[in-house]
Amino acid sequence: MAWRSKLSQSLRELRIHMCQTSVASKATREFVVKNYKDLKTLNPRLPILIRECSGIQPRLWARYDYGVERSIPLDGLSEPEINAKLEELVETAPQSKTPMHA
Amino acid sequence: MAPRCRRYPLPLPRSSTGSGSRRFSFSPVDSSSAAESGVAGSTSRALHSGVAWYAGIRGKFYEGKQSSDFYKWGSGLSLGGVRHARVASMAAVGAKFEAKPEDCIEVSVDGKDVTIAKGMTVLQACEVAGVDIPRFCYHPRLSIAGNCRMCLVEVEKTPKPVASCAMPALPGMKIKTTTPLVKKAREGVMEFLLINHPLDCPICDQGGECDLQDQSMVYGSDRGRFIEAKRSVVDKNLGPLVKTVMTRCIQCTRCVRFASEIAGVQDLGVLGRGGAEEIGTYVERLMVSELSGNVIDICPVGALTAKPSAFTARSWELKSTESIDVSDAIGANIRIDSRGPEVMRILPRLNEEVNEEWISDKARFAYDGLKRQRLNEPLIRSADGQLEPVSWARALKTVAEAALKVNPDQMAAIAGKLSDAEAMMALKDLMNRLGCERLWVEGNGEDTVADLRSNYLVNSTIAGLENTDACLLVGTELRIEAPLLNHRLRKAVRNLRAKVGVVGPETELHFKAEHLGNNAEVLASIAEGKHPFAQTLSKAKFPSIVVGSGVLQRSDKEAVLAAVQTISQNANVIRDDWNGYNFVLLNAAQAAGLDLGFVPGSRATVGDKSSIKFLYLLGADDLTPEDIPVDAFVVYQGHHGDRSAYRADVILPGVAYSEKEGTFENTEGRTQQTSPAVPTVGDARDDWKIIRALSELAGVKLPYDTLNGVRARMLAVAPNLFRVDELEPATPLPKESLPEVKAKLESSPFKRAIENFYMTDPISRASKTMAQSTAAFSRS
Amino acid sequence: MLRQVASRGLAVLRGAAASQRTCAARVFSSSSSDLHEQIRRLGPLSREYSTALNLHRNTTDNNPEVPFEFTQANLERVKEVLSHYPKNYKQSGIIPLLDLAQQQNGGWLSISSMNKIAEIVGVAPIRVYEVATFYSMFNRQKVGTYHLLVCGTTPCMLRGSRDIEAALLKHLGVDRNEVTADGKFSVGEMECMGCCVNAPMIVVADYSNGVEGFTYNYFEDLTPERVVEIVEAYRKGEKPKHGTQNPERLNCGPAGGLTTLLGEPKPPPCRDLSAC
Repeated sequence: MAWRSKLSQSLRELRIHMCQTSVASKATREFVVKNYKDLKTLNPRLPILIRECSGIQPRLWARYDYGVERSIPLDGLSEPEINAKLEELVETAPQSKTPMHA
Repeated sequence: MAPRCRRYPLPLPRSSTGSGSRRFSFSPVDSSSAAESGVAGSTSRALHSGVAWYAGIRGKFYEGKQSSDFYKWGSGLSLGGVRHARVASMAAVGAKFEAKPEDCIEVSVDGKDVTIAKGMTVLQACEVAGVDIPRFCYHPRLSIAGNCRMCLVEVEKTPKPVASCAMPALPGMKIKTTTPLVKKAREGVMEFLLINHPLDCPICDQGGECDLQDQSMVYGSDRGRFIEAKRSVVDKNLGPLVKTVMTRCIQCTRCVRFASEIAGVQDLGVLGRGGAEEIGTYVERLMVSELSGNVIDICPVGALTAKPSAFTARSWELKSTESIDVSDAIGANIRIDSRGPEVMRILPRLNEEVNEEWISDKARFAYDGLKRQRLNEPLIRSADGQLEPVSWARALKTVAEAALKVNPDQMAAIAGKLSDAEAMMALKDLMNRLGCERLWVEGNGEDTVADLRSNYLVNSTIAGLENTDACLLVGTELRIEAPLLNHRLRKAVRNLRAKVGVVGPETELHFKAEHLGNNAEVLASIAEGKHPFAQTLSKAKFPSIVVGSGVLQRSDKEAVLAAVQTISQNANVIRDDWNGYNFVLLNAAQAAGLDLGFVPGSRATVGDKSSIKFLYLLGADDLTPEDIPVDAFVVYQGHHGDRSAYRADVILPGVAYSEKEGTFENTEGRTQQTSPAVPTVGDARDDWKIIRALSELAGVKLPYDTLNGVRARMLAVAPNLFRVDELEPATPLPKESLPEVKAKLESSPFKRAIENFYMTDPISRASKTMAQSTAAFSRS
Repeated sequence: MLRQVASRGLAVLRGAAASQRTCAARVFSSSSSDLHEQIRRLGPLSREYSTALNLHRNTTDNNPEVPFEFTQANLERVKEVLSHYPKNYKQSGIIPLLDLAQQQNGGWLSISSMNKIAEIVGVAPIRVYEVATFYSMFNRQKVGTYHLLVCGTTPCMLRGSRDIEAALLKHLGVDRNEVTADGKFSVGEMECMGCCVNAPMIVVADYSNGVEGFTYNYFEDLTPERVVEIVEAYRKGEKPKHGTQNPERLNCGPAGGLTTLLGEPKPPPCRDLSAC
């Protein structure tokens, strides 16, 4: 999973939204418990903001350069699938360009 | 016949702590600490006799029921009716739970049957029945004194009227509150109270909101029978906040009980006796407490009034706005009373979960700073170094041009202590869109990790800290940093005899605490289990740790937090039914800032400030001019011309918390909103609007232009900030899921996070009252 | 100065107020200027139960810096006093300790002595001040070595206690609660001391011999002449005979011997004691 160390190259910030208790967020929680250490160790400077709020849809948010954001809903996904989604967010990072000079 | 139990008010352990009936379980009073606990140790006559008598009654009342929780609850009462006070306070807010039938009794109030909990007083029974009993000395959060006699009621088969505040309700009692006997008795009491009370209501600041005035309308006579001159009492000096007119005092002793039981300063007492009785300190002494202003609210007459707002307004002229205090991270609920464009005073609002009904002196009295040093028009520093007023369009254009000239890596934005979540959201989006990732909130440090909410919140919740039985304070002067949280911990010490250990600067907390040392070695030895306090924590049922956010300013903060993590793991501080790991923030903006990720993004430069060429200060004043590079372009957006405004190249006038609708998150993670009480000053604008307008000129238009739009955007970043007045608990990750920390502890001592409680932010620094308080009360 | 104000207040109270209050009904019917005059003449009505105000002001001989320590012998007494109470209720000993301190300190309680007691029983000083201000027998300012307390309650008053007091004040040349120049005597007022049958009476609190030699003796059936003799006897260092000063009386028995209860009392006529 070499892409994991590239996380802080392509992403500026990663946000994981989930509910503290709901069934829909269970896999997301598992993903966080299993992978947070690895992700953080590989990307110590990348904010991985885990935001819990009761009853919300679990969601992965990625912020790239110049405030570009993308999100993927995670309900119904299993833990490996979430992993795949994260990889997708990393691999498909938009080309960085400065909007003001565009 | 089995008692029919309805839902009725009783203290309920917070569901988040999940601790069942634990609040009721108190072991019989341990001899040594009973003497230390304020009330039982008090020799104040009214208190002492009332409490001793009451405890005696309680002892009999519960005889032979030693197994029940309520028995223990009853014996806890010998601590001075503190348990009882909680029942009453909960009754006031109407917390509900289903009680077991055997813990209920039925009494009748004015012919209406009500079911109440055992141990409630007659007065509380009347409250449950919806009957209002007049009272002066009785206060639900204080011990029972029973000395004003205004609450007299008639109980069938008792020969005399009964002081309902001090009489426990017994099964089958028939209470009558509307009989001629009751009326006559209360009229008699009122007549006695008015013998020496001056008729100066027209010049009294309490006029219009005075308990004595109100109740004399019901029970008072239109003429007096006494021709003697009224007595006069020497006024006491309680400092620049509380004005005393002691002649008006009716000796209810609420302030004496407040001082010793809530504030924890044993300075006030009842002196003399009979007609010469008075409240005072005997020796020349100020009552030094961060909560001293609350005696103004509990005083039922005009003896103690607010000095700063003396003779400025009548209560009926004021418009009240419910809002949130931003002077610290507790987020106390307040009511802003205003007249026209001016804030006249600030009073607490009841919120059992946050501030109960108290607020700190800074929250109450710093409002006069809202009128001074205000920025009311956009300013630009001209070539000769002077700031000159310009139009909004020109000011924003100047900022946009300056921003676009600079490489994004050389930009930085700092959010100040009082920033609302909306402004921080907008600023973060703007800076991100410009390519800048270097953001931080004052107090959080420049490179704080905001990943896990449970790492930076008071997880036990503010109210939940009352349940702890052993607490370790790390690098915090809790009394100064969060007076209301300190009050909760004080309750734990008083009620549960919690053991408190302090690692950090030596400080007076107004309760018994053991100072373990002020260096990281002590922390390390606790973490290794060598220190005796490690055992204290491990043995505790509900251990807690309170870490001050002052540690974020340390270079070895990761090591300190890791040591705390180890301690908490060893002592089982975090478990499924209890999370005692608490991180106390200092400023109102901190929690929301962390939630929104107002922290440096990946690959942001951190530390070296000399590279900064464009600095955006959102009300941030902690940087000294020396910290800011000479060639940097500094934008100051804020409401006060405080420290940083002197260095600014452009000043954009924003609004203060009393003038805007802003979202704040308190230190336990509760989202709350302020409401505008007064109009904005001059040409100032809402902070998020300024940033939104700027984004358009900078060519990175933000995709929202309404307040709800900003909030919808917040929903996509930190959804909990959308849940107003709610607390979204944070789930801690297991230790195995956390990255390892390699940093080493340093030996430097913990520093004080706040040097002067009374002046911490732009508003309180501009306040004259706070300057006077500093002079009168400060420790140096 | 304060003392003078206080005592003047009391004199007014005892003199004018008592008679004025009885005719309150008349006051209401009189004209308004009369009413004001009446009220003015009532003077300050707040009773001073003690020899001092309810607040402390530092003076050269009474401030927290003046040290106070119990003597070694008295420390034993402190221990003894505290042994009467449970350890967690040491503050119950405040009253006996204040009394002890007052005797050791020559009849009055300095601010440091109260602070010391607070320290001993482990409470905040204000809790001790509260007690000391409540009880009028605790003197919070200096009194004479012999503190003379005249009973001013109704039976003694009817039997001439005012004359007794006047004689004392005149003889000693002081005001009430004022100490004579040599520091030997002071005159105070007391509420009923339960000696009404032998009224009028005074109490002499003798602080001349510290705690060991402290006496608190009643002198009863006084006349203005006799009370002056007693004072003079004390001045000479004698210990005059206390109790009744009427040579014809034995304790509180009637003058000239018993007139009733001369034989064995008869049982009550209507009760069958054996049935009890």
